Amino acid sequence: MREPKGWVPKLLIGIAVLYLAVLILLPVLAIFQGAFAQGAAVFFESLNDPQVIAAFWLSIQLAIAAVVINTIFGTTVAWVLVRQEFFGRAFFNALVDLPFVVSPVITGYMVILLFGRQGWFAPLVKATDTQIAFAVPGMLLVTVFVSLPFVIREVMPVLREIGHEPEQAAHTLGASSWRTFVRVTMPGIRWGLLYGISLTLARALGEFGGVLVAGGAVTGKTETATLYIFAALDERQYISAYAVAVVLALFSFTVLIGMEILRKRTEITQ
Amino acid sequence: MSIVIQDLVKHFGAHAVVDHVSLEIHDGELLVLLGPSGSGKSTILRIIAGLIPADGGRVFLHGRDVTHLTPQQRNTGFVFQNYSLFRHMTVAENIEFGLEARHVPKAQRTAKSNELLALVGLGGLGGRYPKQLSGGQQQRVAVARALAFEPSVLLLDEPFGALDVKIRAQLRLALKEIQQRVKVTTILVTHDQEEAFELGDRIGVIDRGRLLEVGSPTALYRSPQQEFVATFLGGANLMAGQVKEGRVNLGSLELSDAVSYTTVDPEGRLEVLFRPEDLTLATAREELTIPVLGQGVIEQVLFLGTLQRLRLRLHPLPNTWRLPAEFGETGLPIQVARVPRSDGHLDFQAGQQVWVGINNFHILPRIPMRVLVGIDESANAEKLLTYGEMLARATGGLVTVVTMAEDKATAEQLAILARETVGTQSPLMEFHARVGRATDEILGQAKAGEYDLLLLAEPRKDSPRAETTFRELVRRSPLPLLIVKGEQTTIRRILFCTAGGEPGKRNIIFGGRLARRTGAGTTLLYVDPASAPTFGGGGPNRPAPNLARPTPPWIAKHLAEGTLTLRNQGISAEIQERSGVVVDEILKEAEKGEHDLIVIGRHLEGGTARLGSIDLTSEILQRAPCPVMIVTEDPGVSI
Amino acid sequence: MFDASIKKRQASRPWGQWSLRAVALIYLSAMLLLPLAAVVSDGLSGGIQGLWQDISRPAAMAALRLSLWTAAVMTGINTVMGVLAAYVLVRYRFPGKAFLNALIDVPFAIPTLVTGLMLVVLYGPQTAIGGFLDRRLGIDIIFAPPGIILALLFVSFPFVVRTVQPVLTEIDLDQEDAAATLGASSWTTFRRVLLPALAPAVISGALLSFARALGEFGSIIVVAGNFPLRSQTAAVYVLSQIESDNQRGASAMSVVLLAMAFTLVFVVDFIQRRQERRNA
Repeated sequence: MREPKGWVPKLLIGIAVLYLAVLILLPVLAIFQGAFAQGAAVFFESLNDPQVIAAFWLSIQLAIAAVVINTIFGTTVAWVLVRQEFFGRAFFNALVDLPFVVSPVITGYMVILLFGRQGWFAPLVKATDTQIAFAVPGMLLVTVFVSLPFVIREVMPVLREIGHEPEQAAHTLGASSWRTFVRVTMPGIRWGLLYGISLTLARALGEFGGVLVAGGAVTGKTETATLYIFAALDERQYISAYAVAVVLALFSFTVLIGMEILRKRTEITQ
Repeated sequence: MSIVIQDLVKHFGAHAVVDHVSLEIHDGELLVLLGPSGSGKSTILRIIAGLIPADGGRVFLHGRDVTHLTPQQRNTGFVFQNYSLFRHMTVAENIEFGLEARHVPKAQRTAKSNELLALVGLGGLGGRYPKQLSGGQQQRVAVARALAFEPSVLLLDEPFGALDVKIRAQLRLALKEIQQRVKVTTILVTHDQEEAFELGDRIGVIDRGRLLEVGSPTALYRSPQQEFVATFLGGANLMAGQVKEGRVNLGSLELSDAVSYTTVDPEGRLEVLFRPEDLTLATAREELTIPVLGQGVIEQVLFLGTLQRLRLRLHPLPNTWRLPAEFGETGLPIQVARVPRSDGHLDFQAGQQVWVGINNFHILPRIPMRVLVGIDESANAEKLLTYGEMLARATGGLVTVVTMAEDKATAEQLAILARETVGTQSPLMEFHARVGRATDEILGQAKAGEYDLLLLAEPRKDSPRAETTFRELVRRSPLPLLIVKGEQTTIRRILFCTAGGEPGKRNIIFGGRLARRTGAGTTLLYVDPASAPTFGGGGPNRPAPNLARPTPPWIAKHLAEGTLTLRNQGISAEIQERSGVVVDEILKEAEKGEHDLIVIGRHLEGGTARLGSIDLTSEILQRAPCPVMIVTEDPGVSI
Repeated sequence: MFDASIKKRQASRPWGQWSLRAVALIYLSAMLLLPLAAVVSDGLSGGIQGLWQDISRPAAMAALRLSLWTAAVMTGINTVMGVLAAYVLVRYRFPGKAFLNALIDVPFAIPTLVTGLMLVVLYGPQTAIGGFLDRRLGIDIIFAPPGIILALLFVSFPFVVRTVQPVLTEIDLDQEDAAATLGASSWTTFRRVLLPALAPAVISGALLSFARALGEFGSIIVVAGNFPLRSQTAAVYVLSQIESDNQRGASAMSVVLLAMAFTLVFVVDFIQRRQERRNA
């Protein structure tokens, strides 16, 4: 790394700073300005609406459930993909990235095709008398789907870097597989895992298109925070929409700062 | 025995990383596995620890067969090359980990970790994290961790590889001391010969997956049995001297006493090892009171502190070569090490002419002949084994007996019978029982190991299946084949057969090897088949017109060269020429000369020589009164 | 002998490893493959012909075209700006750099719907900037393609930067210095030394951001609304078909989008693995 000397580097830096400021910083500031346009009192008042609180509560529940599921299975998948060799490993490895690029609308639509009235599992759904499509379970499926890659993608490189040897060392010292996992593997990947969990959480809380399609956005029943914003815009309750958006954005920043700290931390331990 | 490994095999893909390695390590011994990187030594260590499954072979720890146990069940202490300390645990936690896994109470664990920290000289550092320690300290923690749960054996994989030279030397001493105090049986893997010398009670040298030699450092350094071991351990000057009429000299060094079938190779050369410090330099010949190798020019002088290392080139010596040969150079490059005198007196410079004297030398034994004996149900095992044992004794060779049958019980029964026939006392013979088709088993063995000769019995006449197997073996064997028949159990006179067409050379070279080792005399026979319109399959009773024709010049040349080759090895050789039906004449000559071994060449399939036809071979095989050896004439292979 | 050794090896692999693998693969299959199969089989239930019929309707074609060209424009801009930002961040020291670096991750963290909302607040017709652009320059941003491009630029910005950055860090500054001592100008150095090394990462990042943009929904529905033939992108088109209960139309467009996403992901995977092999 070096000090920028001459006009070319300075110009390059200038362009980069300006681009990021206009593209990212300006809109962020705009929404804060919009939310507080009629003062802080109105801002807090609009958040204190039971409908808003219910929406946040549902968002949080879905996000936590998705985090739990994807942490458990994501760690397993990452370990298997790194430590084991088997036919089709490359295929599954590439498959993991798919939720990054599948449109959330299609994700929601998948749930309907599987669990809707004419879905593949319609008889099963009917027999067990559970509602999945247009209900919270369907929204959970969508949330798990869209946030699936994060834990896997963060844990895999860490596992690869640590290598097989610490686990082998534990085995030669007599530790069972479970003890090895708890005492050796887990502590090794904890920062990477936490990083993945943060991303999962942020992604899950912000999910919109998928839960819109899979849940149907029924007020008080399947309305998450993002869905509330969408509904509020429709009803021209701009301040309320902005306020919820600001809270979500603030949460995102918190996660972001947390991740930055984590990253520093992992860099130091390595 | 603390550690016994038997016939360990490991393949990565088609490549054998560990190739039939067997080894026994005594209680409390520190054995160093030494080999270049990629030689498979770490793989062996990992197989012992159970980190990698073996493809074949067994591992015993303190008499317990652990081949199929998990690493957890084996109770081995393993020190990894980069230590693999748990970064998130303190030093003490690392050391206690093995005890924790064994549910030892905390108080005892703490006591043990303190004891070990003191042992490795890190007392008081238990609360630190690995990254707060230096590389050398981390290494000692790794050793302590591996010893904490009192493992049955200690395995160290290049434990000093990641350290710099100075710390390495210190830690070597420390490790040796710890190992002696704890008295734990230890295997240490390294590529550093200095390390091996300093630490090893014994050293096992490994190359390309094969364990070449095991012995004490001094034994391996002073009297290695193989070239690779000689050159891998320390500086080595390898030279070969040609034996002429039983005499061989390197300069004024007289080595004729050492000439024997165990030391002279098929080309009649004797291989001698001089260590750099075995040689003494002098400015004048008279100064040397020891045998003189010759005179040479100093090419380079390196000052290495206590030692001075010189590279010089000897002027060519008669009948002497350097091994491995240096292409396109004259003279004999050699290395000399000497302790320079502290007053600087008698220092040598590059370009100087010096005389080289020999204080000490070691003659490398040549690799003995290895014979594979195949026995199946149909064979006359007793005669075959007697003959095999005779060959082994005569040539100083090793005999591997493979018994084959379609089922395991029979194969093992045959092996037991074979062992009883020979008597268990013969150290030169080993026995294997194999299940499967005889042809495949034998050919598989012939390719897998390195054998020089395949010994088979004549098939019994009443078994068509044995006949088929036998024919297939004769056709496909990549090794020279010796078929035992008749009553002869010694080799005194060997008959080499040559007919029209291109004569073979390999049969003479290979047969000569046997002759030299058994002290047999030889006859080179040429049969002119021209007068017989067909031969071989043509039948034995065709009359042979007694028309003497001059021998073709290329045949005469071949016969002359053949006798010379044999005589050069100290073998008596005479030439006989006959004409007539080839097989008849061969058998007549065999009877007349009281030959007890007939050697014929066989070209590989697709070859053109007429004597190479299978029909002729099988006819000789059928009618010969004595054993027959068939040598494959493969121009691509030299012995 | 070979067979026997394989059997032995399998036998010595603990059951735990097998069950872990089973859990991992079943999870991936159930969560990813099964839903995909549902969409694909529904989309292809009328055969390729049926799919073509549904996708060749004017509204569908317009939506697909709009998605493709806006995504392409965005990819072009973000590739150039992403490489530039990555270069500046890796190679130079300047005040506020840490802040700038953190800012790049914002689009990953912020819900896309909120992104759309931000852009509306900033560029909507009632706002200062939006009003200025609309009345003085006659440029519509909101409910028009420029808004879509802006939204895509925002949500996809991190892709190129974050794939290029680590590669650039790996390349030693010495290489650039070496080129300079050999007399190469800065531009030549960039073109001949840096760009070839960066190319796989740049292409991967660009393709990923393109794939991501094709499926983008949350920000676009707010910024561009849902006007067929004018500002309706492919993903929004799928939603409108679901809402109007036209399952065939929804499935057809989904299959097309999925096919493109699949292809792009596997191309990127191929590029990355080839690169890994080369570096190994």
